[in-house]
Parts: sequence; structure tokens; C-alpha cells
Amino acid sequence: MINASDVERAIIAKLTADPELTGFLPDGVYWDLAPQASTRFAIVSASTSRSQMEFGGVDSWRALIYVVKAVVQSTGTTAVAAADARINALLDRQPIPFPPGAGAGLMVCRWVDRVRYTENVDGNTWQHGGARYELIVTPTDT
Amino acid sequence: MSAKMELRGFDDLLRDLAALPATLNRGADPILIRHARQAEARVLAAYPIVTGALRAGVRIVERTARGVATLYTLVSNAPHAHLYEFGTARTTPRATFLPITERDRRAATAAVSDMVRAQGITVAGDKT
Repeated sequence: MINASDVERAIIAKLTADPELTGFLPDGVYWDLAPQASTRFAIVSASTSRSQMEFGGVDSWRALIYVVKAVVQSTGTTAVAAADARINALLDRQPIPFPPGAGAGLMVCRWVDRVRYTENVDGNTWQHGGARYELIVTPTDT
Repeated sequence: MSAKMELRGFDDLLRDLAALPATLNRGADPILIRHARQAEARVLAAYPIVTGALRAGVRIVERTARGVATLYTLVSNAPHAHLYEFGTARTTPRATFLPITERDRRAATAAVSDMVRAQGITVAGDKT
């Protein structure tokens, strides 16, 4: 059985292990929400998903779509653009090692569409830059 | 009007092919608007009501593309709709609009494919 939580941990682990990305985003990579006082970080969150059934009552594959974005407190866009580009280089059509318990093999991870906006909170400007990425995974235990 | 294609010769083929888009459009239109309205209802049900602005920004935009197909686009254009969907610097993303619209778009595509197949026309590709 495909364990989506392991897939999600694998995405975060790959991003966290990259020194170039952590140079851009020193506060880390988090699921959904970063700790308070973080000002340069990446967020991974679920967007949507779907499956393709086959005969025998099993899924041929599942598509897991995630928002992966850099969040930077800055009026400038250079830092968020650099982090976004690095995330893209790490994920788009690149391998992502899954732990054995994931029950899944990665067929492809691909860029789907862009996520980019600027937010103003209490006089501070936040840049959000990233994309939705689709991971097509197939079960390994059927 | 029947959507059946009955071919008796090359002239008939040309005539029927020319008529095909309009015929299919008439059959697809109620399918597409039904799925657009379903998606709209689901998004409205899923959005919270705080000021009401998020729900007020949800609407269906209808337009005709190249004089052939009628397209229905569900939009959510409240000023903070993207902040709700993708999160702020201090709040978690709440994927709502995209999962719902993607599901209904796939369902609409599958329903239109079935409608076209029912007319004896081969539809290639994946319904997902």
C-alpha cells in the first residue's frame, strides 16, 4: 500500500539535504506551517490527488500533487526567485528516494503550475514563490 | 437533432464532419454546465464564512471559444483567495478550490468522452 506520508517526508528530506537550498532558506523546510519567527523557509503542502484503478482492485498509479514554495520576508524578489529555481532543479523530473515503507516507486515528479504572490503582514512584505509538483507513484508491493 | 453520423459517400462525410463540432457542442453543453455548477456548489460549501468575501468571489464565467465550444470557467477571485488556497507566511495552506475543480473537470471530461463515444466516435486518450 502506498504510504503518502512517507512520500511527503521524502520530498522534505530531499529539499532539506540540499546545502544550496538551505543557504537560500536557512530556517528550513516544513509541512504546511513554519515555526514562529521564521523568515526564510520552504513549505510543502498537499494540493490534490487522484488514482488510476486497474483490474484486481488495486491502483495502477496515484498522482500526488503538492505545493512546494519558498517563503521569504523581503521587499526584493531575488532571494525567493533563487530558492524557487533551486526547488525546481531538485524536483522537476528528478529522482526522489523513498524509504522502503513508502510502498511506492516514483515514476515521475514534474512541475505542474506556478505559485507566486506577495503578501503584506503588519507592514512586512513576504514573497511566496514555487509551484505545484505532481508525483506519479506506483505501488511496489502488489 | 440526432447526433448519429450516417455516411453514404464522401460528400456526406465532409458535410457530417463539418457539422460535428456544433452537434457535439449541443450535447456537451449541458454536461459541462452541470459539472461547473456542481464544482461551484462544492467550493461554496467548503469555503468558510467569515466576512463572506471568499464565497462572494466564486462565480462561473461562460464564454464561447472560436464560435464552436462553450466553455465554463469557475473562478474564485476574492482578493485573498490565493492566500486561503496556498497559505500565508503564518497560516497553513487550505487546498480547496483546486482539488474540487480538478475532480469535476476530470468528471466532465469523462462524461463528454462517453457522450462522444455514444455517437460511435472513437475517443483516444485517458479519461483521467
